[in-house]
This record gives sequence, C-alpha cells and structure tokens, in this order.
Amino acid sequence: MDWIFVAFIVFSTIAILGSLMVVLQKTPVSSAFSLVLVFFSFSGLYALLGAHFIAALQILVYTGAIMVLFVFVIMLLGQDQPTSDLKDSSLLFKGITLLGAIGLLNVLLQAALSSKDIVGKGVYTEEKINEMGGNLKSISEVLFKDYVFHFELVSFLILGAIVATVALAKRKNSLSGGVS
Amino acid sequence: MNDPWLMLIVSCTVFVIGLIGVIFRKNLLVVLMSIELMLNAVNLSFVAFSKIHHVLDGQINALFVMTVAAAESAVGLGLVIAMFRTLKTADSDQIQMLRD
Amino acid sequence: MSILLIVLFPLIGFLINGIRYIISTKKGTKISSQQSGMIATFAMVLSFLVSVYYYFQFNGQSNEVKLIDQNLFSWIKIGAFHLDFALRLDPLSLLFSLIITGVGSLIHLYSIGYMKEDASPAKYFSYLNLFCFMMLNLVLGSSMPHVFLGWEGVGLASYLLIGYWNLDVEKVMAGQKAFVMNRIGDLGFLIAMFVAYKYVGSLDLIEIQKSTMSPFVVTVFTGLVFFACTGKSAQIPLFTWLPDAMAGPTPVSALIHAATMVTSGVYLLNRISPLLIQAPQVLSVIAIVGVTTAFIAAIIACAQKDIKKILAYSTISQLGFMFLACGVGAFDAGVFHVMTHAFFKALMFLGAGSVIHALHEEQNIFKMGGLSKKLPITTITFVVGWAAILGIPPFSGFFSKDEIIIESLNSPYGNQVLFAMALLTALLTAFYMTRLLVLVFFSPSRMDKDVEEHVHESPLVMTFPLIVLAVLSLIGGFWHHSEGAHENSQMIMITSVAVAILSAGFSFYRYRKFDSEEQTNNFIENGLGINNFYNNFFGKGVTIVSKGLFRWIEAGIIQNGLKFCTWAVEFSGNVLKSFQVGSVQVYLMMMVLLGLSLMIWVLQGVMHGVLIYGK
Repeated sequence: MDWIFVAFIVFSTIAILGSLMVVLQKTPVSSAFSLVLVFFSFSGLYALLGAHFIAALQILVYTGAIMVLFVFVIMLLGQDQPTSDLKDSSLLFKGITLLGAIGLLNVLLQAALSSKDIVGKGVYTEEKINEMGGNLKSISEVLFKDYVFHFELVSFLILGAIVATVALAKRKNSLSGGVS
Repeated sequence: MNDPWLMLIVSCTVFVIGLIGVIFRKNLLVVLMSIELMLNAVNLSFVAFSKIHHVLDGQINALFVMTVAAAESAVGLGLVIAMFRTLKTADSDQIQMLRD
Repeated sequence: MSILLIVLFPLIGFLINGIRYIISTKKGTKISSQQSGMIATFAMVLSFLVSVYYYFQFNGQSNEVKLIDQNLFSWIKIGAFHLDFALRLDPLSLLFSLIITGVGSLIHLYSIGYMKEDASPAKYFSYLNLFCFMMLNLVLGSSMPHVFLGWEGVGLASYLLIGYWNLDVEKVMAGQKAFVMNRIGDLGFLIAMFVAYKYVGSLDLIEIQKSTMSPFVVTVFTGLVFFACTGKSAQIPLFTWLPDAMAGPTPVSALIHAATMVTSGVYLLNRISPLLIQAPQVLSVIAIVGVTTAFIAAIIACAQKDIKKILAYSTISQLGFMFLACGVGAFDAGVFHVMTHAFFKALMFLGAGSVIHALHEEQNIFKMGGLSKKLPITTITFVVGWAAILGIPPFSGFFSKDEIIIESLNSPYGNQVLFAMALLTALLTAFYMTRLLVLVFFSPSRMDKDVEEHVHESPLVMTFPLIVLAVLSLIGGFWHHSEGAHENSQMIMITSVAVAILSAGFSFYRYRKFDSEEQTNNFIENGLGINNFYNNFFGKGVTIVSKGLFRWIEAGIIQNGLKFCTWAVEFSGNVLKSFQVGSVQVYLMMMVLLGLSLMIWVLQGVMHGVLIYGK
C-alpha cells in the first residue's frame, strides 16, 4: 500500500463525508464550511491525478472566490438560523427520490466500473508530460493552441454573467429615481 | 495514482449526493451549494478520464466548467438576493408562481 | 357533331335561366316567361335536332356500327380501378333521347303558355332544362355511376318541380314523398353497383352485360336493379308517390311523370336485358309485379275524381304493361310502348292541362262536362289520345299494347294468367279512360256558372304541341316492325280490341247523361288503402323504432358515452394536475426519474448493440 493510495482513501472519504454534511447540515453556514472541506479534498484528488494546474485553480476559484461569495450572501441575507426544510417534505416523496437516486448511482457506478479496462490511446502519457516540462506547460500548450477560440468565447460568458448580476442586483425603481 | 477509475466512484457518489441535496433542500443557498457539488463531481470525472485516456482535453474542460460554475454561482446568488428582496425568504417552496 | 351536344344544350339552357333567376331575385326585377321559355325551348329543340341527326346517321346502318362512344374525362381513378366519364349512343339510348328531346321540346313550348302567369318562370324553365339534362345523362351514360348520376339528378329535378309551388305545404310534402320513395329504390341501385364492382370489377354497362357471373350473382344483381326500377317507375311496392306527384305543374306531370322519368326503369331493364335472360326467376317476378301493378292501378283509376290522378294511375298501369313486357322477355315491345305511351300520355296530360287552365285550376271531373264545344282542339286531340290508349287501330297504342298482350301469352316466359290479367287491365283501362273523356267533354255541363262563362280555348302555343302529339299518337305505331306474327295473334288482337270497345261502350252509356257526382268507393279511391298501410305500418313503425333508438341508444349509450368521455378527460386532467404541483423539487425529482429511465434504456441498447452507439 503506497502513500498515494492512502492519500486517495483519505481525500475521497473526506470528500464524500463532506458532501453529505453539505446536504444534511441544518444551517447554511455549516453547509458552506463543509463545502470548503470538500473543495480542498477535491483539490487533493486532482493533485493525485497529476492535474496540478486544476488543483491550484480549484483552491483559487472555488475556495477563494465562490465560497467567499456564498458566505458573503449568507451574511447579507442573515441565513444563519437552522432550517428544518429537510423534514418538511413527505415520506413518499423522499422515498421515491432516494430510490431514484440509488438507481442512478447504480447505473453510474456500473458505467464507471466498465471503464476499468480502458487503455489510453492519447499521446499525453505521464512521460510525455514530464518531457514537455510538466502539467502546466502541457495544458497551456493545448489550451492556447487547440482551445484558444473557446477560451475567448468564455470571456463573453463571463461578461454576460457580470451584466446579468448587475441587472439583478440593481434596485427595481432606481431607474425612475424612486427610493424603496 | 495507477487506478484512475477509482476516482470515478468518488465522482459518482458525490454527484448523487449533490443531486439529493438539490432535490431535498428548500433553502436556495444550500441548493446552489449542492449544484456546486455536482459540478465538482463532474470535474473530477473529467480529470480522471483525462488521465485514463492520456489526453489533456478533460482537464481543459474542467477548466471551462470551473469558469461556468463561477458565472453560475454569481448569477444564482444574484437571483437569490433578488428573490429575497421581493419575497423576504430564500425557500424554493415560496416560488409557486409556476403553478398558477 | 358530337353526342356531347345532346347533353350540352339543356345544360346551357339550365345555366342561362338559372343565372337569370338568381340575378332577378337579387335585383328584384321580373322576368318575362316568354323569354325564359324561348331560351329553354330553343335549347331543347337544338338538342332534338342533334338527336335527329344521329337518327339519320344510324338509319340503314348495320347493328355493329350503331354505337358511338365519347370519352369526356377520367372520372374516378382508385388503384387499378378506372372509370371514364363517357357518353354512349346506341339505338336504345337514341330512341330515348329522341323521346326526351322531342316530347320535351313540345312540353317546353306548351309550358310557355301554361306558365304565363307564373311568378318565377326562369326558375321553372331552368328546372325543366335541368331535368332534361339529367335524363339525357341517364340514357346516354356509359357506366352505372353515370346512369346513377342521371338517376339521382332526375329525382332531384322531379322533387324540385313537384314542390315547385312551394307555398303550399301539401305540394312540398308530395315532393318529399316522391323523393323518399325514390331513395328506397336507389338503395337497390347502389347495392347493385357494389355487386357489379365486386363480381365484374367494372362498372361499364357493356362490360357488365358481357360478364359471366354465377347464376346466383346474376339473380341478385338483376333483382336489385329491378327493385331500383320499381322506385323510379312507380311499380308495386313503391308506386304511391306518383299520384301525389301530380301536385306539380301539369306540363311537369306530362314530361317527368308520364313521358320520360318514370320510363327510366324500363330503360334500365333493357340495358341489362342480356343478364335478365339468365335470371328467369327475376323475369317472372318482374312480369307478376308489372301485371299486378297494371291491374291494381287500373282499378284505383276507376274510382278517381281528379283528372290528373286518373291519368297518374293510368300511367302507373301503363308502366305495369311495360314491365310485363320486359318480364316476359319482350323487351322491344316494352320500349315500343314507352315511345307510344310517351306520345299519347303526354298528349293527354297536356290536354288535361289545357282543360285545367281553361277552368281556372279545377281538377274534379264531376265539375266539368260539355267542354267539347268550347275546347274543340283540345277535345279532338284528347280523343286521339283516348283512342291510342284504348288500342283502337290504327292508333299507336294498338300496336304496342297488343304486342305486349300477345307476348304475355306467346312468349316462352308468358302464360295464361298473365294474359288474362293483361286483358282485364285493358278492359278496365277502356272503362276509366272513356269515363274520363265522357265526363269531361261530352256529358252535360256541371260547371259553376261563373267559371263556365270564362272557359276559352288555349292559345296556339299550347294547342300546337297538342296537335303535334296527336299526330304522333296517330302514326307513332307504324315505326315499329313487328316480326313473326303468331297464328293466334290475330285472334288475340281482335279479342282485345273488342273487349276495349265493349268496355268503352258500356262506360259511354253509363256516363253519357251523368249530371251529379258519382258515389265512389272510398277504399278504392284512396288507393286501396295502400297509402294508409304504408303510413301505419312503415311510418309508425319507423317512429316507434326511432323513439326506442332515441331512448336507449341516444340517451342511453351515446349520451352516457359522452358523459363518460367528459368524465375521463376530467379525471385524467385531475390526475395529471397532481403532477403539476408547482414545487421545483418535485419537478426535479421527476426529471431525475425520467433521466434515469432514459439512461437505463440507452444503456440497455448499448448492451444489446442495437442503438446509435453500436457495440
């Protein structure tokens, strides 16, 4: 049992438990902090897979930006009280949903297991990546060569998101000069 | 990591947990968090497949998903704030206008 | 020259007068009856001239040449089945076209005088032309659907003209009665058409004639056609409409209900005569029905008081004679009688119209009398018609009627009973026709004083057709060459003429000095109660069945079925509504379940290697 496998076990256990906590925690704040835990462990898993760039981005974008945003909104809305919304829905509804979810999990796991024997056909083996100068270099190679157009398109998406957020956050009758 | 398919198991599990969260929880903030969970699970599977197939496209896709997730959470949270402003609540139960 | 012209002229006349009528009703202007009548008559005369042209074309030719087909357009095309809209002229249809256009022209001419005071002459003449157009389609049609088109078309025109004075409810009802009775017969025609389609595969009349069907199918087919003919030609059991049809204007009765439309049954039987020969049972049924109709109608005619009703029953009786001729296999004699009957019966109807016209719509023969001095032309022509129907030589009726009587005994299908009935009918015919003639023209006058003063002979436009028809009734019999006289035929001829003259003499003696109203038997006068029987049995039966159907089927099954339908829709709507809860979470749940099932389905496909992804 090498240390990589041990690390995998630890990270994946934290990820699964953390995500369960996200769903089951009563107060949104606890959920948010469980989510941070999950993000961190996912970052570890990425690193284990050799995707160092993604691992770094995971911490920067998710933990650093998105989670801050979440916590900020929770603060803003005063959602720090425990809610009982989990218990509100009917047993039948929960049963059917859980059944569906388990079925889905079953199907997905079967699909995952079927990919066990796949032999990779791509050129970017570990040796090749090392030869090229590491993960970051090889990714930039692909990103700014093959995916440069998509990369530019994403900027439009972000621009759109900014405009949408501003429009949403604006007070309703600020245009007509009224105060609400 | 010699067995990247093990990652897929983690990914599926987290995805389904996130889905359950989306369906069960009524607090829109938690729903959004669960959506983040699901997006992360997909990201993980992207990266794992990238490793399995010896290609880098999976990782780049994960990158794009992250961007989309950031945009999504920004807009989503904006929506929650807008809704909270009009309905004074962040419960999805209260949005029943679709029915009538 | 094309045979299409025969059909086309009446159609053009119909369209011109019809459009004139529509325009006049829109504008509220009045149309002169002379103008409309001239247009209609001109169209008929042109059509007649074309027919005459073809008569000379055919004259002296061998029988094989006497057939002209004219394909107008492809009518019906379904799969392998193909039907052309085609006209066909052969000696039989030529004879009928000559009768229709010739007698038709005269009656159109007569109508100009008769309908002078009418409010909407353009409508009347357009209907009359429509009738002729349809009747010509009937006789010139090459296929059964084409004949059926004409068959229904003349029914329509007959309906429109019987109820022409549509302000009188009784007349409208008479039109409806004629239409409905004809529909019953049409059912036979339609089913016969289905049978022909099924077993011959073609609806062309010549193909049907030439086809080889099993004896049973032939019997069914001819029986159905015969049933159709009983409707149109007013035979038992569907004859009750014809006396009521006399509600229409008298020229209409002369044209449609004496000379042409009612003989279309005889035409049709002649068309399928090669098949009828193969079905002796049907032939004997036709003969029995024909002679019974002739006999019963003659009895009823003896007790009628209305001049037109007498002529109507006489028409039924003569049609019975024609059917008898067809039934004993003497098709030529039947057609010959159609021709002579068209002449003398049209003549008598027009004469009756002249009398009615002179007496200001008086139709009761017991309120007439002594008209011979005041209406000399009408009287003379009517006497010619009377002599013709009695069968006194050398008038036309003598040749045709006696040929039928002879054939009813001598033909292989004839027998003594038919012969005796025919002779008896001839006797009755002589009796009631003489009664009519004497009471109207020769007995002492029984008219009201103020009516009597205004009696006057009809104008030339009405008497001219009478004279022409009288001449035709006189000489019409010589056109037919009776071949192979039997040794007993002379005896029969003498007998029948003697019977007719004796009966006429008795009738003349009885009614010579009649000056009051005759007490007739109510039962006989009302058509032997057959009308009442139909009303009580079929009318009420249908009413009872309809009420039952309404209560059980309509109210019970259909309405409850509809209620169930609405309930089912409401219920399923409610069920579906329960899915529409408005909660995002439930929608999501459903989405997950659907996605899951789709996923399973797709993966199943992948596993079996049948779906898009392949193996």
